[in-house]
Formats: sequence, C-alpha cells, structure tokens
Amino acid sequence: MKKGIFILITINFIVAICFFLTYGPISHFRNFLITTAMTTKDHKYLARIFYSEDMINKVLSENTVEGFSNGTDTSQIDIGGNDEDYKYASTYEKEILDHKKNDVYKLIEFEYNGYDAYLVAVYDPTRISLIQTSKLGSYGQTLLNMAKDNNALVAINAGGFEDPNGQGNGGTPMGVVIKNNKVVWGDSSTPATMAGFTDDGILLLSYDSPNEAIKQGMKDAIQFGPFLIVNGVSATINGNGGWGINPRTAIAQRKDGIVLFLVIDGNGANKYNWSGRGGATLDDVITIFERYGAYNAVNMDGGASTNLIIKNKLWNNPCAISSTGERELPNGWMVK
Amino acid sequence: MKEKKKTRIKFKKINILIALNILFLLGCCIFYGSRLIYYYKMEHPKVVANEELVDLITLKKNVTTVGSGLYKNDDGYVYKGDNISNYVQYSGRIWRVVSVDKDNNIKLITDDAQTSLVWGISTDYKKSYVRSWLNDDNNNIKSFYQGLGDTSNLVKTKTCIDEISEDSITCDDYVEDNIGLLSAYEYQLAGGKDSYLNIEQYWWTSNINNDETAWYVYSKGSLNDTSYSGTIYYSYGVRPTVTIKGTSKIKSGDGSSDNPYNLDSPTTNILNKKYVGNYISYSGYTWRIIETDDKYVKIVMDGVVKDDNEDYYTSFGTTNYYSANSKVGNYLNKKFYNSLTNKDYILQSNFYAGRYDYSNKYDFNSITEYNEKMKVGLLQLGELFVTDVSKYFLATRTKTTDNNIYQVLEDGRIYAGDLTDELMVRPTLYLKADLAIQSGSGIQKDPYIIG
Repeated sequence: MKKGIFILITINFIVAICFFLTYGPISHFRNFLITTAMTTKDHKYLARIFYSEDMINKVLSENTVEGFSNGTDTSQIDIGGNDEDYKYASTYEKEILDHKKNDVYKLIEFEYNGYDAYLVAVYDPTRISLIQTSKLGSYGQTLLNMAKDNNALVAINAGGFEDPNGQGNGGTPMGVVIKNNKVVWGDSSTPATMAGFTDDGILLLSYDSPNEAIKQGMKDAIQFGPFLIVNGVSATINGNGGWGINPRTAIAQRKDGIVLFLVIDGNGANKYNWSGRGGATLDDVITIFERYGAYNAVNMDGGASTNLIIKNKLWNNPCAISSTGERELPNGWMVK
Repeated sequence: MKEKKKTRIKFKKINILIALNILFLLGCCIFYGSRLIYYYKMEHPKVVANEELVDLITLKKNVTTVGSGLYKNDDGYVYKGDNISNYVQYSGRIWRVVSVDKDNNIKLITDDAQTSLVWGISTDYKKSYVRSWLNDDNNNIKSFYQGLGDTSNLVKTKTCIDEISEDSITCDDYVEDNIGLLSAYEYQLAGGKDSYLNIEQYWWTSNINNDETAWYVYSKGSLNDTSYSGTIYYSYGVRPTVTIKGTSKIKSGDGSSDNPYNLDSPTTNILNKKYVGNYISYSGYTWRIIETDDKYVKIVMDGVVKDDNEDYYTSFGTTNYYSANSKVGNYLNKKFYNSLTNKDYILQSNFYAGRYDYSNKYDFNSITEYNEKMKVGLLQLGELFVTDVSKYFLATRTKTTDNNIYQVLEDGRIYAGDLTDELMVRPTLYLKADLAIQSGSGIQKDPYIIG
C-alpha cells in the first residue's frame, strides 16, 4: 500500500512539473516547445497536443525575427581588403585570418551549447556557386552526391523544398532559384526574400524580384531566410525568434569578403532526448557570426537538411531518419 | 471501538482520494493521448506505398455481410451501400471501386461524369456514340481512352448490354472494350439510389429497353428510360468504367475520400507531361487540364469568370455562333484576356462552334465543323469535365435560326437554352506545352503552380 502511494505521489509530482512547464507562468518552455515544433516539417503535432491554434499563433507572433527595410549594400564589401599588417580584433578573428596564403578555405570546429559546430571560412568568394540536384523538379540528391558530381571542395545545404507529409523527395525547391543569372525555378517577377552571390562574389541579400536581383548582378541565389545581419546590423529578435532550437545552416560574409559557412549539429541521426533533436536558436547563430565579424548573414534550411561536405566526405552529423542521417535535397552551396 | 471507527473512516477517505487521483491521471492520459493520435494522424496521413491494390481492398477486415461495405459473392467482391472508402486516384481523376472479379481484376467507375452526350441514335450499344466517345481513336476529338495516362495496367472491361425492363434487370450479354459503361444490373447490385453510385445527376447506363431507348440514372438516383422525344435526344452524363489489374501498386493513400488509393506515378514537372484531369493554378484561377499534346495543353476553368470579385453573368449575344466578335467571345478575348497574367503562356488556337442536333444525328464529331482562331474559347459539348460546373454557356449550338445555345444544368443535363438567358462564363485556353510546374500536387485542393 505504502509503495503504491509512493509511486502515485511520484507520478503526480512529474505530472505537476509537466503542467507547470507547459501552462505555468514562466513562458520560456512553452515558447521553446511551440517555436521548435512548429518550425519542423513533420513534428508540429508536439505543440498541438498541448496548445490551441490561437495560443500557437500568439506565441509565434511574439517570437519573431524582425525584417530589414533594405537588402545588402554591396559597395560596403571590399574583397581582399585587409592590409597585410592588419591586427586581429579578437581571438575569433585570428582564427579566421590566420591561414596559409594559398588556402582556399579553413575549417574551424568548436562546440556551442554542447553541440558540434563547424565554421568554414572561404577566402575567395568567387569560388562559391550553387549546386542543384540533377533531376530538378523530380527528385532531389544527397548533398554528398551533388558535391561529388560537381567536384566540390566544400558544400553546405541551401534552400528548402516542398515536403508534403514529410514525404518530399527534395526534388521541388520551395521558392525561387537563380542559377547563372537565370531564374531556373519560381516566379521571376514577384518580390522574394533571396540570398545569393553576385558575379563578384558578394553575398547579396535581396527583397526585390528575381529579375531585379539579376539586374543587380545576382548570379546564383535561393529564396530563404530570415536575414540575420544586414550591412553590419543584427536582426532584432523578439522572444526566441520563433524558430526554436534545431540544427542550423547559415552563411555570412565579412566586410573583407571572406564568406563564412556555419553548420551547427543537433543530436544526430535518430537520436532524440528530452530537448528534442537539439541544435541552436537563430539568436545563437547571430552571436556566433558577430564573433567572427560577419557584415551580412542569412539563415539557410536547417533541421534534417543541415549538411556539411568536405572533400567528398560527410563531415557533420545530420539528423534525417536514414542510415547516415542524410536526406535528398534540391540544392546547396559549394566551394570549388 | 471509537478509535477503530475513526481509522476506518480515515482509510476510506484516503481510498477515495487515491481513486480520484487515479481517475484524474487516467483522464489526462486519455485527453492528451487522443490529441496526440489525432494531430499525428492529421499531419501524417497513412501512406501505404507499393502495396497491391487488390490486397488492400480485400483485406479481411474490409469484408462485410451487413450494411455498407465490401461483399464477397460467387464472382469475387462487390461494393454496396453508401459512405464507402473505395476511392482511387488514377490518371488525374477520382474513381470508385465497383467490384473485384475472380481474376483479381478491379472495376472502377469515375466518381463524376466526364462529359455529357446523347447516348446514340442507334439502340445498339456497339454502335452508340457513348461507346465511340469512350473508345474510338478515329473521331474528330480524342477518345476518353486516348486521354488516359498510363494504361499499361488496364485490361479489357466488360460492359453488359442486355435489353432490360423494370422487372428484369440482367447481365448475360456483354462486350469487351478498353473503356466501358456501368450497367443497370451493376447499379442495382451496389444498392441503386442508396449507394455511393448515386451522384444526384443524370448519367447513362449501358442498357436499352424493348422500346428502343437507353436506360439512365436520373438526379434522384432511380433508373429511367426516356432517352429521347421525337427528334429531340437528351444529353446526359457519361461515367466511364475501366478494369485495372489487382496487382497494380499504389503509391499512397488509404481509400478514403480525403486520401484515395493513388495509382498515379510521379511525372516530370512539365505541363504537358501531367495527366488530363489534373488541376493547375494560373492567373488567380484554378483550371483543369482537358487535353495534352506535344505542342499545347488545353485547359478549362474550374469555375466561372469573376468580374469585381462577383460571378460574371451575361447573355450569349445576338446569334448562337461563338466567335471573337460575339458578345461572350468579345468579353473573353478582350476584357478577360487582358486581365490574365503571363499572356505569353497562351497560344492562339482554333476553337469550335459546331452544331449538335438531329440534323447531324447528334453525332458529337460535328462539333468540330466550324472553328475560329482566337485566344479564349468556350467549352464544347463532348469535351471533358463539361458537368463539373453548371449554369454556364457551351459553344455548341443548334441551327442558327433557332436562337438556341447549349447550357449546362445543375443535374448534369445539357439544355438548349435561349441566347438571352443570363448565365455564367467558363473559358478554355491553350497553353504552351513546355511550361514548368513549380509546386503543387495537381489535385483540386493543391493545384500545380505554373511558373
């Protein structure tokens, strides 16, 4: 009898904690649960179990990344602009700038909030271009296969894709894709949140129409966001930003033209713990980019799409449900 | 003694508290458990890929001996009654499973009428217009069979052609074609007007009576046999049947109306590679593909033209000949055309304005007799999906001096109405064949978006 009562009290205690976290006066856990679940492609039900649609919408509206009024001012980027006797502003900057003369890129690995993070500094941004699945519109390819097909030194995933019921095959990009100064996917005349590179290797973040962006020199681009840093100003994050905690991929460019590919892992393939699949918030991503001197930065597709390939090897620990954690994707950014 | 009583009361109180506590916990489990199941299922519809269709249909749990459902009989299986999850998506259209034969072949019927036609002047099904429209490849317009996508899994369909009466509905004599028509016998076997086959519209069966008229199902779901009056022949809906191999693999779905068994393979994202029957979104309207070709894709609006966000009503004009100069034609080729976006997608093409009456024996091939090149046209009698929408003008007419133009009624009939009737307008266009599809799954709820 006593043992039974003890078990019952323990269960009650656990239930009380759960109720306190989900419905209590402290909104942190509630916001974390809703924003994380609602930004996944196929785990939104984890928020809907506990909250009404009205509550979910309210939380999402209170946790946002505020947009910018303008896109990138390309005249502020001076590729290779650092003097030879430039003094490092911080240890983080030293990590980037301290490299051999002929290095194409440098990989910096570190841990952030207990998760593995990878920062690739690309010294010549004109070597960056968009790679796409060979069967655009029908089937996606793993980033590893795209990188192999294109002899890429480094590759990260780029835009999102249509994913009905989590069954998408990565073949249908979500939104606009520009490749070699041409719109290869999406509506060319409607303004969109696009990120890409000009012919000169400048990261151009644009709210214009694809046609207008091409006129401004956009060579390769995808439609994704949000913009995290524009012209040196970091985005205003309301609450936790509304994107929860997930594996992240993001790109940035410093004023001296060095491009930063950032990949932050979560718990890896098929591994969930109490905090979900883990990773970072967009606020974390901005913090990391600020450390490394990013002048413009943008979020790419994350979650199970987050992939880093270096020299034809899967470098990070992605979390898609497959033997390697990879999934088929529509496109990626490569350094050649 | 008092102490004992006190202890017993205290013990009873604790037991009540424990019981209430367990009830509360159980209530929580049930409440949140049911929400978990509900939302998980909503976000993850059941996908049963690569199963054979016949295996899913004839699962033991699906077979019933009472009420609506799948019944086993000497010939195989047959669906009876209403509210049945026997939906199939095949070749861009929604079908219902009628029966499974001894060879595990599955008979399907379209869930709605595919066009509206006169059954035939001859009372022999073999010489009827409906059979020709369904199967013949030498007509002036493409047959229903020619418009189907992958036909590799089809086998010949049996169509019962017995002469029947109200007292004797049989199925002994039959023909075999690629595409068939449902017989009155099969309609009755499924439960007649109380079955899933009753769509509250007029549509033809394959049988005739001894008075040389064809049998049809009318809007209240009963069988009737008044298919003409003098030289006036009635146009009713045509619901084709096909027979598909039971070994056909499904790509997804559970057979429900929201999630039909899907037999359609993914196609290349180019417009003319999509199925006839698929839905597309263009210029703010939803359209349906009615014909594909190497050079063009013909589409018809899945609805009617809006003007200032209201359904646009108009009379047909002063003559019953549809042209770019007629009242309706002028509106469509000027004001409506100018309101469309991406006009470079549209091909100027021939639109027909043929005559359809006893003078040409109601032969649907005569609809192509007259034509004019323009940008926006109207649908013709005999073209696909005529009865998807009602209360609108067709371009098909009777003789010029009659001042009659065909219009579509809510119950699926075609009616030669007056030119001055105020009706809605349902345009049709020819688009370039090689337009890229950007997104969407091609169903009505999620049409393809063209770039």
